[in-house]
Amino acid sequence: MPELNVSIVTPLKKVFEGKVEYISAPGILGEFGVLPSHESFMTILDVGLLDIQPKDQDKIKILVVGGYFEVDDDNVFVIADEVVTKEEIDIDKARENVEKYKNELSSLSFGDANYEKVRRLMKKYESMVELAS
Amino acid sequence: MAVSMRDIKRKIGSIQKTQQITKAMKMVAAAKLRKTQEAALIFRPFQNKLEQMIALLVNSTSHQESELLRFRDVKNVDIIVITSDRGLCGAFNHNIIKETERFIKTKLTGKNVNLVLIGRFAHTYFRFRGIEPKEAYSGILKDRADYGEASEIMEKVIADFLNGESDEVYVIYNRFVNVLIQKVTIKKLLPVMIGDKVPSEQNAVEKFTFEPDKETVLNKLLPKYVKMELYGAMLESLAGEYAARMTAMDAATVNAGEMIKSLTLEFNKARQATITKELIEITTSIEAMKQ
Repeated sequence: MPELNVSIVTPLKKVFEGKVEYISAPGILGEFGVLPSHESFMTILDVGLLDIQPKDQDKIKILVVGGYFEVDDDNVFVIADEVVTKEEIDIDKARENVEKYKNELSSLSFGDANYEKVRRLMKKYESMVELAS
Repeated sequence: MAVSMRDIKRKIGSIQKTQQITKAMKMVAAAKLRKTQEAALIFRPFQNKLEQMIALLVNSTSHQESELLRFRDVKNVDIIVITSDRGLCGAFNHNIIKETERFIKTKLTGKNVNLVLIGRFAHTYFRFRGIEPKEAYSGILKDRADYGEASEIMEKVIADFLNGESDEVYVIYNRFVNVLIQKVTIKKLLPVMIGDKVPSEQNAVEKFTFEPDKETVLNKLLPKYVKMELYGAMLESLAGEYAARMTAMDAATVNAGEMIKSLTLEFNKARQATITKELIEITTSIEAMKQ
């Protein structure tokens, strides 16, 4: 069975590299999944979880905070601005931050200068909670 | 004579202590340089990949598609100057300052130049000359270059570029060539210029599907690319700083060693002189007693 060569990098480190059966990612227009023999495809990532099913191994989840996603000839390349793994999360703090940014967001309206920034922060901590629990 | 001997001894002692410090600083700089180089090694493939993608996209879209690609009449110029926070690194900072002033004088005459300064050195220098920078950051390049910081600095610069406060943005930094050489480099960040880095497959972009579309993807990638250019420059500058400090401290250690050698010689001479003097005194007094 064909497989995907996935590499996930941030400017600071190589997060993941390996053979993968399936990967799903939070695209800017919604979540999508990629199987081997996918057509060549490029998109921008939102904040959310990357779901990776490596060959013969347990599933891996990685939180990406924005980035870029490319599939070409079964090579998947993810450039993330920031990456959070399960081990790094302080769940209580994340929950607190979700509340904080939720409140902040409700005081803003769509189109405000800060709206997108706050939404992304809220989403980041939400995904953290999801990842940790 | 005895007093002078003690003086020389004290001097030797103090130089020895200085030598220990410079030796230690050299070692610390070497260790930090290695770490920075490792970071650069991780970063480089990342940068190359993004550059390829951007080149591919830029060449298949019109230059008018993105504000960050568009050329305008240049009236206002932003220059990002990267120096170090700390000294003791030879001519590292001075070269940057000199080049910055030369660049402004020769290439940007009649234009309104604003400075964005990274590193304490540049800030101190320009403030002393009565030039207030637009932004000044210090304490960022400590032990490692931080992508988050680079990205924040660049976001402001990009915002200014987009609302017309600046028409061109340059970065001036020390590029790390090898441990002995740091080359002062001027790079244009905005508008983004990629022209000649065209990938070989001209039609490569055709086979891709874009979501939502090519222009949006390009517009999202360009700021990332520019931020990374700045981060790359910061990384190079940091590596250069450590290399410069290493060489400077190495030279200082060698110089201290030479100084100790010549002072030891002087000390021995002085000691011998006292011994000779004492001997003369003894022999003359014996001669005197004989009479």
